[in-house]
Amino acid sequence: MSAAPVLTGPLTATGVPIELRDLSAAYGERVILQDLTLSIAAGERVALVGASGGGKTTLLRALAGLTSTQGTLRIGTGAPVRTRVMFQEDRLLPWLGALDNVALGLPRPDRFRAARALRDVGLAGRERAYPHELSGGQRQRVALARALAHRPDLLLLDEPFGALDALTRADMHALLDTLLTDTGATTLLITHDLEEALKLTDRVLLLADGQIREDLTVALPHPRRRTDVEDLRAHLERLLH
Amino acid sequence: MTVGARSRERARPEVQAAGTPSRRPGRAWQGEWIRWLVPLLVVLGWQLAASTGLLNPRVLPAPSAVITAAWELARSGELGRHFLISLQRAGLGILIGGGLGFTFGILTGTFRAANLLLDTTFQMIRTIPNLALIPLVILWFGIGESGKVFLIALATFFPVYLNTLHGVTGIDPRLTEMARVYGLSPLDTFRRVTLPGALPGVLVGVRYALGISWLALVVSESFGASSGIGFLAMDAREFFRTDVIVLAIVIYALIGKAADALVRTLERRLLPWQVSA
Ligand SMILES: Nc1ncnc2c1ncn2[C@@H]1O[C@H](COP(=O)(O)OP(=O)(O)OP(=O)(O)O)[C@@H](O)[C@H]1O
Ligand SMILES: [Mg+2]
Repeated sequence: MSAAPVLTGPLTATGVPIELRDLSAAYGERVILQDLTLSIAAGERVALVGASGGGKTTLLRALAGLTSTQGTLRIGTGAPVRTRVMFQEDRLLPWLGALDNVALGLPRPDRFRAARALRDVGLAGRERAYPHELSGGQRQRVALARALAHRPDLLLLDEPFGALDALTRADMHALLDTLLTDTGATTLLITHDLEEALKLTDRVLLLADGQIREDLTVALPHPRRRTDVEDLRAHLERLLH
Repeated sequence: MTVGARSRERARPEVQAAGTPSRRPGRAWQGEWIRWLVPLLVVLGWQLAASTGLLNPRVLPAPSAVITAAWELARSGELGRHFLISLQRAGLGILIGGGLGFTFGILTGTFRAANLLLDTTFQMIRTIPNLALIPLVILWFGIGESGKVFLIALATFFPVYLNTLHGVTGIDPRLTEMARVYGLSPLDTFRRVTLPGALPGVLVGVRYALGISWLALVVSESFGASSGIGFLAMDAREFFRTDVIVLAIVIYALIGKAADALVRTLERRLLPWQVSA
């Protein structure tokens, strides 16, 4: 549950299991999550979809320990868990260059990972660029690199490519697909894009009325093409509307 | 998506005064001398009016007379002496007032308890005009140096305090939250997020403080002083030396301009990440 960094730990993240039972969250009188029950295995890649305002970000914030909840919320098996969030906005520090943004919070001996993460997202050569000198898609790639450089046990992505055009999105999907395969972290991806959910993750959760309404396993090999997931997309589309 | 593009360009080639139209980099030199055209014409006209006897030197001396006065005072070393003592008073006052303003601005911006405890008091003191304090300051400090420095420190405290506080509270809370999620300690969060985030505000405060410090200097040197640019002007008044009075005014103007240029240089150096409007 803690978002504290783990300075010593395995070199490669193995991912942590998540156990939610009767989890509820509310803003004042407004109930957002109601008795939500869900378990996710260590290293699993899960997508969370649902209507806007349905509480997806609230659930993600609960997992990151940023929102108070009632009920059972267990992450990991007791050891401190390294959780990293890629927020709905890039949340880069405007006064730091790309590399320093990625290295933020990394212990000194791990700084080298920042440069590698930046290279992994295709931004080698832009290390010194300030956020305002980067395009929207580049900024989101820096934010992604920042989340990955920490080798999180739990990776929470809140509509990471929400603001991108279709072409850039397609590029980013291919990128994220390989990067996620490499990390091994338990991953929760929030998205409005059903195709994105079905291509990148192995399990799609539909959040509605504060509960997990649908739990769909996607047992297809990666990388997936659009046509591979067409039927599942149509199925989810019907459930959503 | 371009990958591995060229190294970044200088993002902020020039910090511009409000109202100055933005210049194209290629023709920057053209705008440079135009700025001085009007002041130059004014001085020329002024000199002409004085030379032709249109202007009574008792009212306003000719620019050439001011220059002569400056030359004479500079040669005797008097100008340098008065100038340095004024600079020293202003510098010390700004250092004390600005330093305290910055410290308290950070404190009240960061800690709710400090804000509740202190901010109302500061806001109340702020509304008192500095001039109203002069009799009290003379009683407290006499007419020596400390009273002058006190007045300048008091005057510069508030712009730095208010703008630092504003800078700290204006930081996007989502950035602070991000820092927490990414494992930064409170001290690191302060160093990496709060301080750089508040810096533009702090510099705005410093700019105001520099401007107002000269105002406070004029006030504080116009009573019980035996040195400084303000004294030079007051002394000259006794002898109807309008040339020296105008010289003092010109010096104030030049120093104000230099102070402004200093802050702009600081801004360019310290805030390379700011998007120029
Ligand atoms: N800080 C807050 N205070 C009060 N209400 C909030 C707050 N944050 C979110 N809400 C409300 O909680 C509900 C769920 O918000 P949440 O951000 O979890 O939705 P979401 O599923 O992520 O939506 P979107 O897809 O648009 O991002 C919304 O109705 C929203 O208005
Ligand atoms: Mg959301």
